[in-house]
Amino acid sequence: CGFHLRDNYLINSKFHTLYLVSSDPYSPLTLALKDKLRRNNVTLVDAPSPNVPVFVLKSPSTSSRVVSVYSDGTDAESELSYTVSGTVTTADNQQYPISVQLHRDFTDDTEQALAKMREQQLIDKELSDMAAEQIIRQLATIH
Amino acid sequence: DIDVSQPLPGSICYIPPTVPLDTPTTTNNQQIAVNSQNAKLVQGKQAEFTGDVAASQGQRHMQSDRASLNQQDQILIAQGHVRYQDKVLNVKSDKIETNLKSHATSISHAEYDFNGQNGRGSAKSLQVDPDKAMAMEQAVYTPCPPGDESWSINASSIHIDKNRNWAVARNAVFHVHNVPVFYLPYFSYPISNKRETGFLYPQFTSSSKNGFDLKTPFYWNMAPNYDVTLTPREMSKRGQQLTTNFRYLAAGQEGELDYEYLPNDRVNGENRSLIHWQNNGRIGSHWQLLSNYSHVSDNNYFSDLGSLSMSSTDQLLQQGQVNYRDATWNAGLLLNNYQILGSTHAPHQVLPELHFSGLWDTGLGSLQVGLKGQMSNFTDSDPTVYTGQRYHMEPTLILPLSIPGGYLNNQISLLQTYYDQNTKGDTQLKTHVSRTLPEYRVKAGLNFDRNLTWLGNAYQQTFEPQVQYLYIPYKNQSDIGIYDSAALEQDYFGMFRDRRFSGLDRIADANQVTAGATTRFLNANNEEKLRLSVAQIFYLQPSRVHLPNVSSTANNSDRSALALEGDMNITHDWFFHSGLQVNDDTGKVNKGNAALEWHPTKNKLAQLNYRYGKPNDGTLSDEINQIGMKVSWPLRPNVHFIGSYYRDLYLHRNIESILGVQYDACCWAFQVAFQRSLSTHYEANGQTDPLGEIDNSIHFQFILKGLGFSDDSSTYRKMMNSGRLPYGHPFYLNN
Amino acid sequence: LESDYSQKIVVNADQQKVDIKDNRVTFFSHVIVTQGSIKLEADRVTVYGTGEKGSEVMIAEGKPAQFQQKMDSGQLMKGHANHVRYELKSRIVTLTGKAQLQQQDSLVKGDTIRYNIKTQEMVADGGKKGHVTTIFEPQQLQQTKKQ
Repeated sequence: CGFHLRDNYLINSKFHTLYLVSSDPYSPLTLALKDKLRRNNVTLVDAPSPNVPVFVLKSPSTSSRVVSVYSDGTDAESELSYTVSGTVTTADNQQYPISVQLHRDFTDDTEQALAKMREQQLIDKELSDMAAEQIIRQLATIH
Repeated sequence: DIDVSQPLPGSICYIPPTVPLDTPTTTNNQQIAVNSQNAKLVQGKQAEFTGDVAASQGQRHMQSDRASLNQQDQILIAQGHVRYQDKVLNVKSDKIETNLKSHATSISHAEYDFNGQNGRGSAKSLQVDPDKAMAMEQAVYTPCPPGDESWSINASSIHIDKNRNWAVARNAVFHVHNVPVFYLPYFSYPISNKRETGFLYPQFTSSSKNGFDLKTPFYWNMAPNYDVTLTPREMSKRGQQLTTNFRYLAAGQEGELDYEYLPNDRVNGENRSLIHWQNNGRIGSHWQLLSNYSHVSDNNYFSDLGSLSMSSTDQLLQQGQVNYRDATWNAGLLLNNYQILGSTHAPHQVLPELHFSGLWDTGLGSLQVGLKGQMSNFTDSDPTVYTGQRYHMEPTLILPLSIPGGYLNNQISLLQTYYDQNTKGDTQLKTHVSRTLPEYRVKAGLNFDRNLTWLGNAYQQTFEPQVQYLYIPYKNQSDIGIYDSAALEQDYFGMFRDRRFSGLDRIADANQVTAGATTRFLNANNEEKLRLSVAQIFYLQPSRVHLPNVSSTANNSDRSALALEGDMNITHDWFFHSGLQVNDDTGKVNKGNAALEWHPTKNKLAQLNYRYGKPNDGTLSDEINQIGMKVSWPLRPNVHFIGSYYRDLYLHRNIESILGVQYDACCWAFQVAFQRSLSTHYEANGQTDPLGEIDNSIHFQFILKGLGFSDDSSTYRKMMNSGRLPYGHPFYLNN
Repeated sequence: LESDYSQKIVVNADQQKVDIKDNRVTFFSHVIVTQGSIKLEADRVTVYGTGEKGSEVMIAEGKPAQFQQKMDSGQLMKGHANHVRYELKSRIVTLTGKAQLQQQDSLVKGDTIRYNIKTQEMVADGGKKGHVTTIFEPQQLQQTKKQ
């Protein structure tokens, strides 16, 4: 049916070296992004140098909103949102915006508030991983 | 379509572009060129120009009947029909004195307006220092265009400090159509909307709970890095409440401290208060100081009074964290407690917890070794409830292999946990429990691509199958107390996890295979236009570990529910999202949601959403069957309608309906909204009223545009979000 | 320079016409008149003597006639106009007709410019329909501060 195994990395050669600047260099997102960039054959330099593209990554913001309520008016389900943005400046200094917005459903429960806090910590970790993947896909759109 | 934010000539907000003054050009910012009928110079001392004087210095231009330049102190004085213009300001005056070195300029009897922006007025004297500030004495300011006298501020002094983006008016009298309306001794307002300042305008509401309800926020920008908003609130049924929101940004610490206080509420005679402190601090790039503390005086605080400082909730987190993070490991201290509203039992307190997590390359190919550790001390405010210390260690070996076409991740871990519990007479529990569980997990995925055309457009379609095998042996854990374990969401994202319960007190045995796939449609410039994901777990052996009080009828079948997640944005302004958990034995949906949105322009949107859920899958405690609709639509260029309607199909009643209209003039706007929403009501014994409480209210909002007014769509959205169920754009595609 | 006025006037030109009765000498084509640091270049220069040495009046015409002199401050002053009249005794230079006078990086252009070298006072006029243009260069501003 026409499918073939992917044989080239998503990120094209334009970014085979990249200088990543993060306002929070040891956050889960930055570490996940560095790991995924390396897996996509990108060498990360740790100082700016001419004709090496620069990726400035801002720190992510999380928020949550109630999406359904029980009959007694208490919160039932809420939606956790994770947004992060950045700018890529290529070697020929064109600027491209990067913006990722992820949502996850989450069912709250006042009787198990501590367990739900653990679940939220787990979801935040998963979201920063997914955000790193989305950023890689958005880098792939720059050619 | 036309960019609404750029007003057209003739529309209410048309600001005529400024006509540049006809003055000679200069080659750089220091050079001064003067045209005049005649000139008289004394070398190095004095120069007099008379007759149609037109001078310019860089981007500053001036015209007057006569001018004199004192070269010693480099002061240029222009008099008679003076016109002054620079990048920002346009002034008519009778006398202007400007220092050619520092560019400081003082203008008397000025009539000013801003270059191409709204905002104009007059002043007895006006000092301008283009880089920093502008100070006006006996001044009038209005953002309304010429000829529109809707409202203005007369003040003894108005100081605008440009880089702080704030203006401070003293002895300010507000005029509506030149009629004085109210007086403020001190009034500071943002003149650029760089900093999100939220609503700064008087808001009037009348509701069945609080009667007539007037909030008049005062914003005081004390310094570039901290500000305070004081909001006195007058409620006819309850009395006066004061809300203080203090925000700070200093030395890497960013946060807010809020305090709301209503002394002796006339309805129940109590003092009612809320405190909220949130800090997100960093020291260097490694240390993190996080705090999130909230406390309210009584159960019904949110449903009766709402809050300007935080969104209403029935569980108030009281948490402090200190974390150290490095490239390969991180560690931290956590203190955690909750104030739970109502009679629900509050969870254990974590006083404290030390956690550690590291992952290092071993140098043998991509093999990594990891170690997680956690020491937690669980206490409880109820002396009869069991407490305990938990020590957890989790060494792990991970071998991640990946090529563009796919990946194969092998992982072996050993989960060693030791409990030291004070059972408080609970015979089920033991004081000393040790649990050792190995875990083996292998996950593989492949990436296939192909090009295809669908509905006439060329797409690149990806097909990403994934499969995971997970093995954790069974161990009876009923002698361990439940501190922080509960069932995790079983949506698509939960399928590939190695845990069925959160926390560590129950680690479900597993001998299961998870199979799933994701397909994406990427258009010409690689933007995701459609994504479908599906996954399901196949139990080779049924899992025997359950949470104590949860009925476990569901999983005697050998398969989990089928989990699907879909997002579609095929045409530019249509969005669709859906998430489903379907029991493929019975064909019944355990949990599902769907949302469809039409969003043709920035200010036009209509969304339909539906949520369904049965309580038996462990996360929901009651059935959900709710349909909702959000609309934000311009009826006419300056009349905007918003609507929000949510109905509970389980109990056949509507739980939220908002109908609002905003009328926009050029420099002011007016909102009126009728709202009917469900809120929780706690009885005296802490139980919630099973059907909650319906509250009807009418909101009036007068907006003075031009005072840090952010764009229209955010005021429409604020109107739409004043209920319990705010608007969200739940479509996440990578575009 | 003040010392210019005690020096003798040197003129060279292609032709010359002397009119003793009117005590007037006229020089034609490529006329260069120098006296110390004063220098006049024009197509035609007429020098009127008034009997008393040092009080001559020189009128230069050209398209344009050039005039320059070093000031006591050491700075060079240069100007040009269709018609330049220099009264040595009163030290007043009058430039008329597309006149321009450049001194210490301040430049004045106008229809007529009258400059009194002793008092360093200059008066410029834009004429019926024109205007005077005065341009100050930044260094000139700093310098006056230093003096």
